[in-house]
Amino acid sequence: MKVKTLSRSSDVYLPARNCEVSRLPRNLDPDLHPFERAREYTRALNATKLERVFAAPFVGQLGNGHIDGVYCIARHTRRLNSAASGSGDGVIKYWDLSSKEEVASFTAHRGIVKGLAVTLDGNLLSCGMDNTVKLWDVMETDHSGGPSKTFLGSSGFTGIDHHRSNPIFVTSSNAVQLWDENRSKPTADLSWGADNVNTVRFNQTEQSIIASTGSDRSIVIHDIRSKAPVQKLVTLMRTNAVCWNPIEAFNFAAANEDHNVYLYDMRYLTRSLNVYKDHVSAVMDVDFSPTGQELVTGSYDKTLRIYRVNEGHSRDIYHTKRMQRIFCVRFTMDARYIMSGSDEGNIRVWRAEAAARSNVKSARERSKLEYEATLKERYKNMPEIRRISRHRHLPKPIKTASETKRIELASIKRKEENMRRRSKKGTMPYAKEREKQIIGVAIREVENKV
Amino acid sequence: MHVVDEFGVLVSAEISPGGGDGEDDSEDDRDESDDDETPSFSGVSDSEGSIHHTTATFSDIESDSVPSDLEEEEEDDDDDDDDDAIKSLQQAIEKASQKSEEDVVRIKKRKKLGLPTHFAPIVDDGEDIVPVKKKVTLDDIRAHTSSSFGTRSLARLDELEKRSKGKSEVVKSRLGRRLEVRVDRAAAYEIAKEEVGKWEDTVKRNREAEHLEFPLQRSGGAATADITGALDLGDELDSEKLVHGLEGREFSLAEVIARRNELRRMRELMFREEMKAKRVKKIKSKTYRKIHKRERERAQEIAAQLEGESGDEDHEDSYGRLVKHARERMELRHKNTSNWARDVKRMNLHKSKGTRDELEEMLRRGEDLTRKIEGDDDDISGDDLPNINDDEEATEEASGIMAMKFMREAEERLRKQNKESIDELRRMEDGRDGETEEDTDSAVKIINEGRRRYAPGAQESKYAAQESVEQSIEADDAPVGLERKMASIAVKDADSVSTISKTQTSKKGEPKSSKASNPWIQDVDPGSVAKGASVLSLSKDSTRFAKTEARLKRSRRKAKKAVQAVEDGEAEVRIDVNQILQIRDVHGDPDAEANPVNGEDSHVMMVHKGGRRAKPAEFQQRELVKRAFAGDDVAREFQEEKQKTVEDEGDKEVDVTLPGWGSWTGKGVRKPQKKFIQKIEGINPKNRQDSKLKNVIINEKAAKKSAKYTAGAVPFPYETREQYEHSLRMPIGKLWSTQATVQRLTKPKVIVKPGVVVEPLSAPFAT
Repeated sequence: MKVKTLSRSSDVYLPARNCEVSRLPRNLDPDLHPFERAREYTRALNATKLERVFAAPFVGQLGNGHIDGVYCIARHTRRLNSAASGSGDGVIKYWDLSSKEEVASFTAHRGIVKGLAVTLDGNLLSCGMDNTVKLWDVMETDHSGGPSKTFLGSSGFTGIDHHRSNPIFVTSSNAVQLWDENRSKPTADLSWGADNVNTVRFNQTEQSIIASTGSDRSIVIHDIRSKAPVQKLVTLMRTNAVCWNPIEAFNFAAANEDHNVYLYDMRYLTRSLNVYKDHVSAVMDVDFSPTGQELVTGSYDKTLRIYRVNEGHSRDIYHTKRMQRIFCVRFTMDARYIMSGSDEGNIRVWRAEAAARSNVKSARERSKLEYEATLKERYKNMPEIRRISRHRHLPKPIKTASETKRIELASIKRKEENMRRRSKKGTMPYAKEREKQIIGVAIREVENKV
Repeated sequence: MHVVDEFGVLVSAEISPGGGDGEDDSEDDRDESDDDETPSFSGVSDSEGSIHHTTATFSDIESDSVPSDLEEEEEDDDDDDDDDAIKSLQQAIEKASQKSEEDVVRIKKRKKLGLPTHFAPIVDDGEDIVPVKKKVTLDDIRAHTSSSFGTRSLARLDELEKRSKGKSEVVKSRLGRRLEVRVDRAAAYEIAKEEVGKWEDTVKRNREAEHLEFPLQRSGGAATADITGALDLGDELDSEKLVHGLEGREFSLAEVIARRNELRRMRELMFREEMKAKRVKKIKSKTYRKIHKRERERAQEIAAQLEGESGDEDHEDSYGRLVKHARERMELRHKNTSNWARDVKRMNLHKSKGTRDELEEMLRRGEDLTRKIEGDDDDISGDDLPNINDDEEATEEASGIMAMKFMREAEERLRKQNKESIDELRRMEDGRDGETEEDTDSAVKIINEGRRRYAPGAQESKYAAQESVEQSIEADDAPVGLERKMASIAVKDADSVSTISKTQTSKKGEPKSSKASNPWIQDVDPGSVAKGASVLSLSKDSTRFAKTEARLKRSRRKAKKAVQAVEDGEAEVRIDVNQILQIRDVHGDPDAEANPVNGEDSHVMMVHKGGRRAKPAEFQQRELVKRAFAGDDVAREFQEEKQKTVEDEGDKEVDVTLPGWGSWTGKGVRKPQKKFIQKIEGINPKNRQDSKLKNVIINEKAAKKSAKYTAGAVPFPYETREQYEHSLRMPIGKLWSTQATVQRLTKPKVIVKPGVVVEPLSAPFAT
């Protein structure tokens, strides 16, 4: 009688070549892999927990920061690791982001530096309240000789932005002016009668469009082809900053004083496309991720929030104990990091994804991360997973402020509802959340149809 | 502009606006502070109170009849040393200001009444409104100022006057600067919107993309290449040739050449036919559009006439024109890119006056040309029709697929269609040329052989004429006029009301009440039948051309009739259409006269002819429903069910006494007293969630443990629970699907290449 024993041929399990990974035989019989949904749910839950465990958004601060508050940041448009910042005492600093070191520091303006912009050849334009716009050569580190060019204006400048492909830039002061880098006088005045214009921003995609915000609570769209303002939107409260979506030419976000950020389509300004809520104080700056999928906001409530473009609430909030009011935020050009400049003079670098790490990963690790990301996405609506992924520790002032705000809003709503109930039907229509903040636009559709 | 601006009105009449460059800015500032205002070029608006105030003063100083234009405000270039002059002027102003306030009120009143004020008396010069502008001269002021008026200031003004004498031509702004600026902006905004709208496709594609890999490689509209150009007929035929070659038969050289030639010819013919089809289509649409445009204009004219308020209309008109011109201007600015112009710009030549003048001249000429083109465009008829040769018939035999029957047939059909449509077009063109006679005479037209079709306009007018004649014979003197009118109206609404009107118009004649009372049987009048037939023939057999033509004619006729109606003063009679309907009801249903009801109800009544007529429809409906669901007492059933649920889920007492335990049988045995009753605690009916909800049952026994694993509500992108469930059904992991599937399923939506600058999108069509 022959006894059969287990036999394992080495051909089956040994790799044929040296470099080949040995095959792991796998049985696809579903009976052997039961409870697939439960298992994947557990994996998703664990991944979510781990994400929170590994969340470390703060990367570090740049050098020792400024002596005064940081009120503007410019990122280099073609290099990833260069940035510049301007502070309240008129000092501009260049930064090397990879080493987080200061490259140069010099006093550029008397008084506050209000805006920075990068020219086509990578040089820096700065504007300040001392009625000047100055052009700096970034290759030099010693700026004792002064700027390479100075443009004189009639009043203090509040903002500046450069055209993406032509040597022209636009400034905001008591007017919106278009400048040529090679001329000393502005080439065009694009203003629309606001007393003061706060910021001005070029559309990077449709390059001849400019958006500016005025102290008369207006947002004005300008066109440099017709050298004229073309549309004006007036909102309930002032808009502090605007930013155009880099991949959607007609959409821009406007950071408003009423704690919200609004997304507008420049063609249809009678309603906003989205409202980004959650801040508990005025939003001071907003910037789109270069991918156009997310936006970051810096607020007067000392926090920084990240929103997905198509959602109304923030997906993350960053804060530190020592960080004061945030006045400027910028994504880096690779969409991985965020820089924020705040009142206490530091420039902080944050990860856009708090739990992401930028080291080189093996294929296996990458595929695991991707798998987990998919699972998290799939099960994100399960109550436990949602709770864990949304959970953030907030500073006490923010927590209480948001509670208060919630109560206040509910109270207002309740009052309105009571009034509505007691008034004649139809006399108090519901105000649409996306149109509430809009007072009016200058050019209505009706006029255009003539 | 400070003080000089205040009396700018006064000076403006004399100084041409070319004078000051700074004028633009300062005026902008004031203008835009209140841009919500409606356009008014004579308006006394509150926001500009101070200015008006002054103006009123001056016009008061002058005689009442001296007008001035508010919108023209000029700035003097050198206003450094004329402070004294200004002071004295201001004194004069103050003196007269008390009077001026009454004046303003009076003017407002006049404006309300639509009367011309002395600010801007409105004069209708046919096309536009141009505020009348009489010049205010210094002499006028001198005549009205008191002796205290400083002589120095007068001298200063004299100087001004002298200086401005040379250029006394005043360029009139027609609708006022503010309005002009607004219109300019609107036009520029429109263009900017258009420009930015070109991104729509790209944006949409990116949003819908399953994966986005950054940096996006020229994704902006790069794929929108015109593939129609590449899609040539030749390719298909080549492939066909290939198929034939693969059949395996050997060809001789001559055969191959012959074949090739033949193929070439076939291709050529097909191509020509196709091109012809295309062209015909295009021509059609062009003519169609043109006719439509003309029609629209005519309708507008009529509307304008009807409105009667010629003043307002003119204003609107001029405003529209202004908008158009502004738009053109804006576009010209975009298009100012001829080589020469660019050179001039590049080399800064436009600083010299000669070149600048030339440049301006060029622009002006361009504008003139475009305007002229637009003006003349209407007169050019689609004369390219005769160029289409329909005699080149490709009747030769074909080979290959082309020789097959269905292909030949298809070709034939195409050719026939082309020919037909060309014919149609021709006829239409002719019809339009002889537009005046068309409506009255041309009675019958033949489209296809064997089909008769009536030109709708001719048909109806004919019948109308007939009927009116008949009725005038039949009827008394009084109703004749009315009835004729009715008849003509009925003809106008040819589609639906024709039969109705027919019954009405012939109410004096033979009794038709039996027919009319039945709503399903329509009157079989020769006229109505013919009309119906014409409509039917249109809908069934005719080509698109035929339909289009009919529609065109109908609308043209309508417009024409409208014009005629206006001319005859018949416009009011239109209202009587309702009356026709009512009379019809009376005719058809003698009972209805007693209790008049609206049209709908009468219909219902006719449907339920057998039933009680007086009852409204909904009432019957309710009764019907009641009957259908008789015996169903849903409410009671529900209450019972709820009661049962409450009892089931409430406290329960279960007798757990063991049967037989302690129970002895036999005589004299006492009954066991004790019963073992267990109380199972349920939900107190008062504590139930639905205790106060009368019509709801809430399940209190929902599994609490599984709540952790279920989403509270259907999350956003999903619409139903099933959809969401479905999305969770298939596992993703490696254990459950293949490597490729896993990779596909887990690929992230947004992938950013590490260490690379992600540039914003740039337009492939960027200038």
